[in-house]
Order: sequence, then C-alpha cells, then structure tokens
Amino acid sequence: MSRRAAVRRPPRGHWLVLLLVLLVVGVTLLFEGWTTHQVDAARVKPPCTRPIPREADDGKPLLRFGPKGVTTAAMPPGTVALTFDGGFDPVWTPRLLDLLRMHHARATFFVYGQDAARHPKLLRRILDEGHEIGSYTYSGGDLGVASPLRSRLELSLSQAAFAGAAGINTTLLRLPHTTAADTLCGPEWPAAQRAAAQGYLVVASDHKDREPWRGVVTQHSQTDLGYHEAEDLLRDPGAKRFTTISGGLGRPAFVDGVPVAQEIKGEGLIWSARLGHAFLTAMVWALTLTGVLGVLRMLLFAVFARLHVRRLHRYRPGAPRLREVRDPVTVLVPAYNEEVGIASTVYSLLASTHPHFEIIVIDDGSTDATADIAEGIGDPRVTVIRQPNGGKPSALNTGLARARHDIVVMVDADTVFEPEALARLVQPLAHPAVGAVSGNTKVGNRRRLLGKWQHLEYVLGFNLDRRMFEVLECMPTVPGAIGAFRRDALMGVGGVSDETLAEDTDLTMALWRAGWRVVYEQSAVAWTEVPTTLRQLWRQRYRWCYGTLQSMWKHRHAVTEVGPAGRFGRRVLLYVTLFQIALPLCAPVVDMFALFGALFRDPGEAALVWFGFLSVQLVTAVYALRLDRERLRVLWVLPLQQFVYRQLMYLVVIHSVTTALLGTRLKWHSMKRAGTADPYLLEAPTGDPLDEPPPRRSLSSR
Amino acid sequence: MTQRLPHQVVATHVAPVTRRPRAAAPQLPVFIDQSGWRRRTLQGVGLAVGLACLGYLLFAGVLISGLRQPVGTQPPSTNGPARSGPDTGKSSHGSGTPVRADAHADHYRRPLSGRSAPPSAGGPKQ
Repeated sequence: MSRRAAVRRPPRGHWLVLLLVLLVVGVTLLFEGWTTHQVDAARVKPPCTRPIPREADDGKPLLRFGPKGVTTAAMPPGTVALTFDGGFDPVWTPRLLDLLRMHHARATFFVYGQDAARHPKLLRRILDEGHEIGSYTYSGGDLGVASPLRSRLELSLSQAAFAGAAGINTTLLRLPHTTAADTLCGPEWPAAQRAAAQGYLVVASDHKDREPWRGVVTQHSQTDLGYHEAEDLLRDPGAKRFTTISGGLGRPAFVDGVPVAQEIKGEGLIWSARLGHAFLTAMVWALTLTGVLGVLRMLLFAVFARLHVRRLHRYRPGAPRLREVRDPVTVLVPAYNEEVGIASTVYSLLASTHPHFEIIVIDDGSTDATADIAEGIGDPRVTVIRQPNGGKPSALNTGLARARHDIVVMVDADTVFEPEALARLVQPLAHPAVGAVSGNTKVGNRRRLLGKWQHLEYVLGFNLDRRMFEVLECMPTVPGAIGAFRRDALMGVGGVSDETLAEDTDLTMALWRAGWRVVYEQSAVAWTEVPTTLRQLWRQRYRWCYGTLQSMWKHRHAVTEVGPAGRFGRRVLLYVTLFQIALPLCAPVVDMFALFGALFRDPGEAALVWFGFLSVQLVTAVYALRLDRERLRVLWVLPLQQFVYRQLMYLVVIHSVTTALLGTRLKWHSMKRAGTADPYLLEAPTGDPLDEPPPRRSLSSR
Repeated sequence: MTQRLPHQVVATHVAPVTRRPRAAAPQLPVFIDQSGWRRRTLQGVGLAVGLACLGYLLFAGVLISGLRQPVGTQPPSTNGPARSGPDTGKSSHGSGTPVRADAHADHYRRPLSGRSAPPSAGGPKQ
C-alpha cells in the first residue's frame, strides 16, 4: 500500500448504489401500485350499453371464440361444475377443499395470479386434490376498461404466477366482474375476444335459477356464503356428478404443465413480488419513522424553546445573583485568506462595549493581504501573529498560547459582532461551572434565495436547537463564529484538537467531558456570512456533518460516563443520531412516496399530508422567528425549501456517512472565498502522518 | 501549556525510530482507516447491493418483455372427440368423468405428454 494511495477522492460509487436502490424502490412501488390498481387502474366495471351478440346469447356459459365465430357450450344434464372465484380466503378456501374432498367432488377454481404468487401451497393443494385451475386475471382488473398493456399483463402475469407456484398454465379464463354469459356485454365482449385470441376459453356461469339436474356451471365465492351454497348443491338430489369444466365437457384437462424455463421465470416473479412486498413494508416503516421523528422534533423544539423562554424571564427564588463579568477578554480571530472580511470583523470587535479586551488576529499563512490589512488597523488592542499555514486548530492554539486574559472569545474572520455581543457573551461565565458560552449566529447575507434558506435554517434549526440543548444541558457545539471560553477549561482539555474537521464540536464535547457546563446566550448576536453557491454550501455542510460524525465517534464513550458528562453524552448522541443522521437517511424514501402519491394515488391526499407537515413547520418557524425578533416575511421561502435545499441536506448526510464508513483519507480543498463563505475551511492532512508531523499539532493535546 | 509539548515531541520522535506507524495512531483524524479493509469491505457490500438491484431490474425487464407470449393462438375446443374412458357418462356429449367416485384418481398436474397428447381424462384418469 503506497503512501500515495492513501489520499483519495471523496467516494462516488455510493451515488450509483443509491440511484439503483431508488430505481428498485420505484419499480416495486409501481408494481405494487399496479396490483392494487393505483397505477393504470381498471377496477370498476363499465355500464353495459350493448348486449352480447345474439348468436352467443343462448344462456350457455362456455364461450369459444373460434375463427368461425363464437360457439357456446354447457354442462350436460345432471352435471354440476362448481366454480369458485374471487380471492383466496385463509379460512374458507381450505374448508371448501375439505368439503369437496368429503363429497368426492371436483370443482374449478378461478384464481387471481397474485393469490397464486402469495399462496403457492394452497394452489398446489387445489391441484393435488384434482380440481382445475382457471385464470381470474392477476389482480382482478376489469379487462373491459383496462389499457392494452394492463390486459396483456393481467393475463400473462397470472400465467407466470401459476407456472412459478405449481408449474402449470391454464387456458380457462373468467373475466372479473362477470357472472352469466349475458354479463359479458358492452366492452367486456371485445375484451373476451382479445383474451380468446391469446388462447383462452372464456367461462361464464349459468343463471342462478337454473336447476342443477339440467347441468349447470355455478359460481361461488370462497367465503362463508360460497361454502354454504356449495354445501346445499352437494346435497341436491338432481345433481348426479360434480366435476371440473374439462370433466363436464369430456375434454382433456385445460391445465397443463409448463417447460422448466417458464417455471423458473414464474418463481422469479413470485420471489420478486415477495421481495418487493417486504421491501415496501420496510419502506413504509421508514416513512412512518421519518414522519414520527419529524413531528417529534418540531414538538421538542416548541416545548423546550418555551421552557427556555420561561426560564429566562422567570424569577427563581434562591437563585444566586451572579456578578457582572467585566474581566478582560482575549478575542482570537484565526484568518486564512480573509482580506475581504477581516477589516469589518476587527472593526466590529473594536466597537464592542465590553470595557477591556485584546484582539489577536492569527494569520494562518494567507496568500493574500489579510495580515497586512489587520496590521494596518493600527489599534493598540489588535495584535497580529503570522504563522505558516497549519489549519484552524493550529491557528487557534497559537493564539491561545499568546492570550493574556482568562476569558477567550473565538471569532471567525467573516463574522461581524454587534456592539453588545462581546459583553453579553461573557456574562454566563460568572457562574464558576460554566466553561463555555455559545452566542447566537445570524445570517448576514440573506438577500438571495440560498441566503434566505440558510437564514431560516439558522433560526429554525440551530437557534431552536440551542435553546433545547440549553434546557437539556447538552449543547454539542459552540460555533466557531461566536463562542466564549474559560482559558483554564481550554488548557485543561489540551487546546483545540485537529483530529476532527469540526473542531468546534469536538472542543465543546471535550469540555463537557472535562466537567464544564456549556450554555447558550441568545442575546449575544454575531452576523456571519454564509455560502452563496450550492457548491460552497455543499462543501461547508459536508465538513460540518463529517466533523460532527467524527466528534461523536471520538467522544462516544461519554455515553457510559457518570455525572454531567454521561448525561450530556447520552442525550446529545441520541438526539444527533436520531434527528441528524437517521432522519435525513430516511428522507429520500419520503420523497419517493410523495412523488408516487402525487402521481398515482389521490393527489389531494398527498397534498394534505404535505401541507400538514408544512404547517407544523410553519408554526414552529413563526415561533422561532418571533423568539429571535426576526421578520416573518421570509417565511415564503419555507415551502420552496422542500425542493432543493432539503435534498441537498440529506444527500450531504448520506455522503458524509459513506465517507466515514469507508474510512478514506480525504484532501479537503480550500474553497474560493469572497470575504463571505464558510467559517473556515481546514485542510485535512494529506500525507502520511509520519512524514509530515508536528507543526500543525504543536498545541493539540493528544 | 508548554508542559504538554515534551510529550508531543517524544511521541513524534519515538514513532519514526521504532518504525511503527501505529505509534502515530492517536494523532490520526477520526475515521481514517489506514489498512483500507473497511473501504474494501464496504465497496464489496456496495457492489453486492448494486449488483442485486441491477439484477432485480434486469429480471423485471426480462419478465415484462417475456410476457408477450400468449398461452396459445386459439381457445381449446369444447366439443372434440369423445374420450375413451372406463366409465362413460350419460351426458349428451357422450363422455364424461366418473360421478362422485373419482376421488382417488391422481391429479392431472404436469402430464408428461402435454396438451397435445391423446386425450386423457379431464379430471381423473384411470
């Protein structure tokens, strides 16, 4: 294994697998929908407007469409051909067979192809006991109204099912929704003709009032009713013998064996129908899970955000009055090629109302004028450190080593602080147990659609998330854009680690595990620039998602720990696994079903479900926007979010999980930035760790 | 702060000397699998799933396209020659199957001779 082979492109094969899986889901959905008449439906018998031709209208139930026109036939006197049609019944079909055996009688069963596929044993038992099988089409589609494709498939699929289930085919056919021959009226007649052209003898039944001694073809369902009708007939003294259709006509059996090739094909059909059914069941479960999780998440949001608000505004007797924090603060601004944004970041910090602070800009080997611009600001509170490019964790560690004060605030170089933000951000640190504080990030560039989407996501997702985490005491991330830390706490966990791509999440988790509390200060607002193209957004989210997965894995043992660390671990890992991994992974299924529902099922129903979900989301969004004092006007983009943004988000999760599972070493390309964009892009280590080790890791702990 | 550094330095110095890549393992980013077995295993699984799906789709295609074959070109006759049977019924067709007493006849599943064979009993033989 050469060292060069170690670095790989991001995986791509999983997209093909995903596509194939979705195709299979689509095909099975279509097939299942076809058999249940949601696709290409033909379930209702059309009203008859034209009687059957006069020459066939002699009441005889067997119709043979030959080259010289139709000929009819009937049972000879005294002969009763019991026929049973409709679906198999798990209770009454076996009872019927027992009854027939008891009376040594033979009968003919017109079987749905899908029943044969589902209950091959029953089909075999019917044959083994000497009865005859006829086709009742695959799914009971009315051939009079069925499309040409459905008519053909209805007949041939049932033959395939019979071949697979019992190795036979049959030339008997009864058209669904028909009884006596004169019910083959209207469009049923040409349908019967077409079926006959494929080699079928069409079997109707005699009228109910025909006496058995004259010879009849009866028709019964495989139910309680059919059982008792058959029982009465079997006791009828006029009926001399009970036989199959072929038996009554004195012809060779209409049921025949099939070549092995067809049998194999039929078995394939049965298996794929079965697999498809199981697959679909799994999909329905996934769909249910997604729905439940989605609604649960919204509910959790609402409940905990409410709790959080009440907690903020309620006076709690006995709560310690915390002193105001006016201690000096060191602000770390790691910057890599940020010449567009660095000045506004630093100026916004300099305008802070906090009484005493220093700003350290760490230029991480920028190739542009970032460091010069920062130095040009010329304020004694600003220090600029230049270092060779080593990644964001390394830059932060460099700054940390130079920090003079006990409170450290980390800021991304594309973020603009509100004047009050710094002072407010550090207030929770008055409590000695609090090790870190997360601020409230808001989207600055929200002119365009992508910005608006992200704005909604920040308000609806991240900020509500944080309120909930705050109440549950399991804040997993202090964002790199705005976060305050106790320097002791940072030193205690060994500074910022570069083992993961989401160093902020990793750091926060490490703080929790070291026994510190991490809280949320929603009034400390920083405006951040978000990606403006889908490509940048994809990269940012890929990094976040992959980094979060890494951090979770790195800190997985928190689950079994005791105390606040264990509580944190259990809650956050459960939450993230359910809502940020499982939920997005199930999401493509939802889209498939939604598409299917809209195309083939009742579009009204699909719309109802869709608008149901949307309104739950809207209500939550309204609440979240009001909590954050944002305008509600932006809500119009929420419905649109369902179409590109949501898919992008779940594809990112799928991509990240695949990358993580594969364990490949990736080279993260730093992206082009125009002073906006992603907080910071870190390049993953490229070579073998042996060959290019420490400078970037000098301060990381382990 | 700086007390931590010696540990780092020692670790990175030891590794090259002992020539054991594993010494650097704690420094490795999370999820990176150096041996590559995970990648290979998962690629195998992915390949299997993909092939299974592809096979299924191909099979479905073959099945649907193969279904154009009808069971016959015209319906079977209803009034062909009478069968020779041990017990001829009294029916107008001059033939028939045994009355009620034919229970033990063996079934006609998969007759060896197929439909073109000389007529045999419809329901029961013997």
